[in-house]
Amino acid sequence: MMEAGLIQAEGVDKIYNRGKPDEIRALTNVSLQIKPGEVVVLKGPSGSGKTSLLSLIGCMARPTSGRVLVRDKDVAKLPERFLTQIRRKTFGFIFQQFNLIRKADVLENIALPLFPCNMTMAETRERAEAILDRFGLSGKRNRKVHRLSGGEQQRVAIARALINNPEVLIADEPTAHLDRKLAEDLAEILSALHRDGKTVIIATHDPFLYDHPFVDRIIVMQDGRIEGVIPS
Amino acid sequence: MRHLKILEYALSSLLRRKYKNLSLVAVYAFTVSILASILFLTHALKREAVAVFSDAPDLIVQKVSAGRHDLIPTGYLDSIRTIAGVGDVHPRYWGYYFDAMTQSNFTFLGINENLAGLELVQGRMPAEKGECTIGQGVAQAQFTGVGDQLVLIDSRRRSISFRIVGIFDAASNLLSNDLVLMTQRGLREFFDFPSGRATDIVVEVYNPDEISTVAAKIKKMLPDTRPIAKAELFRTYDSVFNWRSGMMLTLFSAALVAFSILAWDKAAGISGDEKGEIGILKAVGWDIADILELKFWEGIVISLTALLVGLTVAFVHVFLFNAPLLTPVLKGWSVLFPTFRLTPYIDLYQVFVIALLTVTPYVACTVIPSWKAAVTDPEMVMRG
Amino acid sequence: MKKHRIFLGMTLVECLVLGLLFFYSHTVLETNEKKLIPAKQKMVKYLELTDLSIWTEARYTRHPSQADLFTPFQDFPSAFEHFPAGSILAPGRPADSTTTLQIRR
Repeated sequence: MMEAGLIQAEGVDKIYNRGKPDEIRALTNVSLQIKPGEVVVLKGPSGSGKTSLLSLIGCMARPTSGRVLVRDKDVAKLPERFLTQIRRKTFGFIFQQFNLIRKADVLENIALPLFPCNMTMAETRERAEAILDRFGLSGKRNRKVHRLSGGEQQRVAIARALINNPEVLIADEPTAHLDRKLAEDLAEILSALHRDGKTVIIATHDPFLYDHPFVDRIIVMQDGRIEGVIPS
Repeated sequence: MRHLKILEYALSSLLRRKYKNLSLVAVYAFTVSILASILFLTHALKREAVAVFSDAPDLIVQKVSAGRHDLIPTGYLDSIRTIAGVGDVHPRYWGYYFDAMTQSNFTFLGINENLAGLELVQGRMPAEKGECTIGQGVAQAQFTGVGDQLVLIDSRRRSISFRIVGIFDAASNLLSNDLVLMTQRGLREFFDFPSGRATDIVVEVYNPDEISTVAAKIKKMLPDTRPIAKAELFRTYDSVFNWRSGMMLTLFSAALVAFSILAWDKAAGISGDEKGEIGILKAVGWDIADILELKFWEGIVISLTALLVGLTVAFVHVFLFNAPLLTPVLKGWSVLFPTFRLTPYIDLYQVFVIALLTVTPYVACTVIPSWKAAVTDPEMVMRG
Repeated sequence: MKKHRIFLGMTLVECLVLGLLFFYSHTVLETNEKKLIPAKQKMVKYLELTDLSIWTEARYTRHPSQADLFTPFQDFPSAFEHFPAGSILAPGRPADSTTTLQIRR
């Protein structure tokens, strides 16, 4: 066993709609290892398999063949219920489209991951308020999400990803809908998380992000395969 | 605690589609209230009939002639008296009268002249042939009161006037609304009864268990008669308001079908929006069970609220306001229709059945369709 | 985040209202059963009544217990029934075994 592998992929294939005419081979024989506290960027053009790899790492889907290990547990072999547990406790997700519940207010969106947890309503609220403060959203807690600006929505999405205090933050094209100024803010937030010792995995083809100094490693992807790792 | 929080989230989620869900609750509650009103009303009428007719005649013997009800010869009285176990046997004189002026039907009933007064009568019982006691419906149709004259046209087209000596209380409307009581002699003269004939015969049977035996004996002895036992009377009332034969419910079932389609459309046809929401919930760490619980709560909130509101409205409608929305349906052709205040008999079993029939299907059609969305991998939300 | 309390509270109030209505019906029932019902029973006994006077349009609707299956057709040859009363009540019933004459061979 390799030392301190937080996340490991071993010979992972992912095929969508297998055996159907619209079969898509998204990943072929992908192996990688991510250590705790690392900031890793998956870089590649769209369609190169970044999102598929992220969803496998984040336990949102199971590999067609090969193994994905999260803290040495084989994700493919875990029942759905445990997968949900891992997703909830280990990962925080920032999606390309933010994936907020548009008509719900900010507080509710941020507290979303806490609803099915065993904690009191007051605790839930406290935690949500604390994270609202941290992201400067306190004044907008009752605002409906679809009335917020893009940058504010982004911050709500990040706040939601962090509310469970996850070890690993997964971000899929986080700067796709942001202008330069907001992208810088995001980078600032991510590097702060890095300093806190969080593991960050970002899929992007935005040079601003992958050339940023806080990035430890860049994994270059092409056509569902890993082409190279910088620095190797 | 977890359950309460999911309930909390379900409520916010419902409030996000406020108008849609409020209109759904309104339509749903309306449907429940109609269903419950019908059941409350028919149940109360049925119970009232059973309670009130406990002292109805044990056995009534009609004569059937050419397949129709005919006047019975009083000579049959003596034949019936010979049967063992039979107590008092006496004729009944009654009939129908169509009042051309008010276009309504009255029921005339001849009574013994020495009948004691009844509690539910203002005034007294008719004691001689020119007197009558009438029901509220008759009094209202004729705009008359105690002391006035009731003018009726007899079978020889003579107008005969009766002095009204009593009016039944409104409380007895269910029994007395269209009644015109007069003395037996008065009635026989008015209808020009052939002598030695009565409308039917009332037979008292000492032992209730022997009523059917006596009936069979009468039928054997007098083949042209049709004995009607008290038990049959109860059975009639049991089936009169039997909801399965109810046209109201037939009509209502159309409404129910319409509602089911609406409910199915609103609850079951989960939109892309909702599918996306389920995906987001899964992605942020909700389990399949959590999502199904959420949908369960959504169904419960809507259907329980609608049920409780519907039941309350039905109760108020039927027992406090005397079912103004149902009476036109119930009334039909009747010109005289009693305004009655029902004794609020409530059958808890019935309430339970209503609850079961309304809440369960709704919750099921909320939860089941979201199952499919809940079991798919949350990965799809990453692809937008 | 108090919606669940409001909902539970409202549901409780609704249940309470319904419960009070049912309780009220129970008390009315008791007074009626003590007073009105016996008076009506007495009326039925004295006047030898057999039916409720709800529908007065036809013989079989005014006195359903006294009418037989043919009665609807006797009122008017082409009348199937007096809607809706006729559909709510079952006009008479075929005589059962106790009242049917055994056919003598």
